[in-house]
Amino acid sequence: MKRDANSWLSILVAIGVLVCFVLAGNAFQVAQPLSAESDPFGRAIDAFPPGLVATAKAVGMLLLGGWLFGLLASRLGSSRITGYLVFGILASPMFGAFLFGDDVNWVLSKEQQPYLLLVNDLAITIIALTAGCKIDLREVRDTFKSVSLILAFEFTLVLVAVASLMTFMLSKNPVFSEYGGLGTVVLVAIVIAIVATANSPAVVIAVLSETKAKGIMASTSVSVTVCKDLLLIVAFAVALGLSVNAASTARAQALSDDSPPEAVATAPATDGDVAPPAEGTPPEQKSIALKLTKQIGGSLVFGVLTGVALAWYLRRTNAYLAIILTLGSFAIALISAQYGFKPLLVGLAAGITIANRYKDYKPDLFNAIENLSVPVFVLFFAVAGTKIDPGLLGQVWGYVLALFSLRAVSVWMGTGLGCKFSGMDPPASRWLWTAFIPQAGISLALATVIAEEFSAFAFSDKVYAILLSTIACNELIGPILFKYGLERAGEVQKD
Amino acid sequence: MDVFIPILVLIGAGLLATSRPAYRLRRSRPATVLVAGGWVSVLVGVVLGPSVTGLIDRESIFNAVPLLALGLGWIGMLVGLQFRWSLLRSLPRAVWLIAAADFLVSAAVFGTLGYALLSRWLPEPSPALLTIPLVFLVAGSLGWSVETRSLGAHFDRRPIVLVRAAGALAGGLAILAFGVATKLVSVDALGALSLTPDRAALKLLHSVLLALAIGFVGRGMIRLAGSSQGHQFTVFLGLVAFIAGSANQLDCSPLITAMCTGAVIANIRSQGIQQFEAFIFRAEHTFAILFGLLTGLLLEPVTTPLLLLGALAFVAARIVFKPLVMGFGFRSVRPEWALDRHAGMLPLLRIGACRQAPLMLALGVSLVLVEPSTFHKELLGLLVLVGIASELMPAIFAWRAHIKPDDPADEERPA
Repeated sequence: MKRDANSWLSILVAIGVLVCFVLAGNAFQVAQPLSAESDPFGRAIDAFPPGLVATAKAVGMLLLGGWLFGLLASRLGSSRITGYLVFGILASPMFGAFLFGDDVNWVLSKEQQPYLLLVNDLAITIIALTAGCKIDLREVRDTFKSVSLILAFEFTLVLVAVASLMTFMLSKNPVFSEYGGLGTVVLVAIVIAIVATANSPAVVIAVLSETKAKGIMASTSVSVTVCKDLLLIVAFAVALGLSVNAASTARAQALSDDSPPEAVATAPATDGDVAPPAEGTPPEQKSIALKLTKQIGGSLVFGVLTGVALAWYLRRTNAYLAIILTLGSFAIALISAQYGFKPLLVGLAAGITIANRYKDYKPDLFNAIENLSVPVFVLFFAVAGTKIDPGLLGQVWGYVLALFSLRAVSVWMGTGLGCKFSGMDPPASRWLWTAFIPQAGISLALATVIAEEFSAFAFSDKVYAILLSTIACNELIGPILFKYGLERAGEVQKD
Repeated sequence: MDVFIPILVLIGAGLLATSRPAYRLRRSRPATVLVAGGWVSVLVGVVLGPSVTGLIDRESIFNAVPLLALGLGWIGMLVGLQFRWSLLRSLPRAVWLIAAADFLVSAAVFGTLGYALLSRWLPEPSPALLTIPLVFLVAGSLGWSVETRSLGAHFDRRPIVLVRAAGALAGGLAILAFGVATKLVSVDALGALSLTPDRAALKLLHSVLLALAIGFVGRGMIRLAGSSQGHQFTVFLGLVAFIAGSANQLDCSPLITAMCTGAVIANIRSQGIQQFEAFIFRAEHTFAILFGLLTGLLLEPVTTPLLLLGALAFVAARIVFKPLVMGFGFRSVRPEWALDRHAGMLPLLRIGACRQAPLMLALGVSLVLVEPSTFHKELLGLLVLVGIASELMPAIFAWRAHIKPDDPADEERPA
């Protein structure tokens, strides 16, 4: 009992001291002393962008603070992931601005955020590798029927429910009564609903790693989440292409009716993934198909090649694996960013290749990833937390509550129906839905894409705020719920 | 810029470095010393960087700055962890004598050379302008490479203690001297450089206080992490990043702060501290390669005749004075250590003292991080050139003396 109290005290003291350090550091920070504009020979100095050098501190802070909060959450019986996220939210400059206004010198600064996002793709690749290593294709083949049924029911029900709600909400927006009418509203609502169907493979993998869960619920949750991600990429790209096209065409039409032709020519164009419609031809369809082939096909091919290369390294050298994985993931992230691949798919394909084609090397790889997983999870989720703006939640909480509840209910119903038709037995079938509540990186990325694509429309800011706040709620509550579900399904391994 | 090509080049270089022919090549002494000193990765960095092929551009290098800051924290820790009080107390007097002699000789010889070079090179050399580069050149010349296996012969433990311990002390001194010097100079409101000794003293005090505080908090966290490798790794990585980053933010020297933190942690007896030390030491090779690569990317190659002449003078001074200092150390312990039994290997160890410590690259990178000017990048280039040239000296000496290199398998044997 005394030992327990000491440990609690240690965590709280460590958190307190850490925060004091950072706040004191921010209060006493000074500008770089040598801030001359040129060197002694008069040559201009390439000064580092603001926030760059201090990013190392931000990384350290997120690692230590996130880890301590995770420990605290775990002692409270919650998921560590929630702890990491909560720390990210508390440390974010938006939280500081929410409490004390924009001028406050908070734990993290806005300048550091873009550099912190660089670690995101790196973390996603490692997380995807972990997921890939857990997928046994023979097992997937055996459970294909149940996975596809659960996926179909859950995906459809969430899509229909959220699309209906969004159609209702958006149809009240005057933008659509002027530009496009109900057809456009439905298309835009479907795009937004697709974001609501997304869930987080990263959270699923992280919670499974944390709880060391094994069983039908654990394996089905990974399979459904990963398959849904593939489906989501295709569905999102198609729906986004069509809706952006419909909305932009209707908008241009409306503008040309009201204004002279030159005004239409100078109207802000949406600079998205899909080209604006050209007269007489439907290039958008070709562009979507090409983009999807490149994105999915390219990612899978690159992933398989990476898996083969990794297996070759494991056979040939098999040393410094943690370092090779970190650097390799960084390389994958850079190459993916350049060629438009999805790091998640690349990592997944690489992991599946090793787990199914080069089984002898799977344990080595898995052990190395396991050792890396804690810092990667801490950093990834703490950084994800820094993107959440508590100020936004206060503005749109009514819509958020409606969307959150509707999504949760439809996930529960859809998964329940899928489990019933696929013949999955309780207790796994009763708690599987909890795996599909969490949302994180992918949902955030899709929401950002929507905000960018529809930035010319008046509804975009509000929809973005609603989506972001709902994702934040799912992000926070999801891991706790999933951990609870796994415990109730009896799949958590006791140490 | 296409990232694919530099990544392919790096993978290719890695494959080449671990191939059988490269392994055979490493049996030749020049290749062995270049690999052991980490100079090969510096050269790869130079080739990939903006000065040569431009495959990796300046913007990408900028993105690696947080990694460099982390690396500086790591290196500072690595040095600081060696300063365990019980270990320092057990060092023979000769080690302290060598370190002191080396400090004095380096300050006099390399200080004079550095002053001559800088006063000819810089257009308007003022005391404030000269301080940082001059201290950098002197600090970069302190000590020698503490690695002895690549020298090839089987050495007895005793003389090696002299080489390693004196080298480690010199490393600590160099970090201290350079760190204080960077805080001695600041830009005033009119944009002119001025000397501010009070600020340097205050920053040193800041560093020590920060190190003490983080050391004790770190100790608590290490204990909380328990025996789980993943959790230990998170705390260790977080501590190193936090120390380096906090020092940067507070305008303290990251190397000094991390070194002091390392010293604090080394002197705390607590659960998990040994794992922390092992974690820091185990990553030495990996960090050396990464750091070498980034150093190569950052530096500006030395091409002007004056700087080439300066580099040559520095190498020559190392060849003349460093063996003298080492010889003085050997002489002072010769009777009680019975060094006459090892007479054959002492000349090689003495000439081995010519080799510049790879640790000094950290000073160069730190200089560029203080202010990323072309002038500082040229100074880093100068240091690297001196390092590579002085590294090759023992190899040439051994070749001239017809000392055959050992089998690489023997190199792996702990000295």
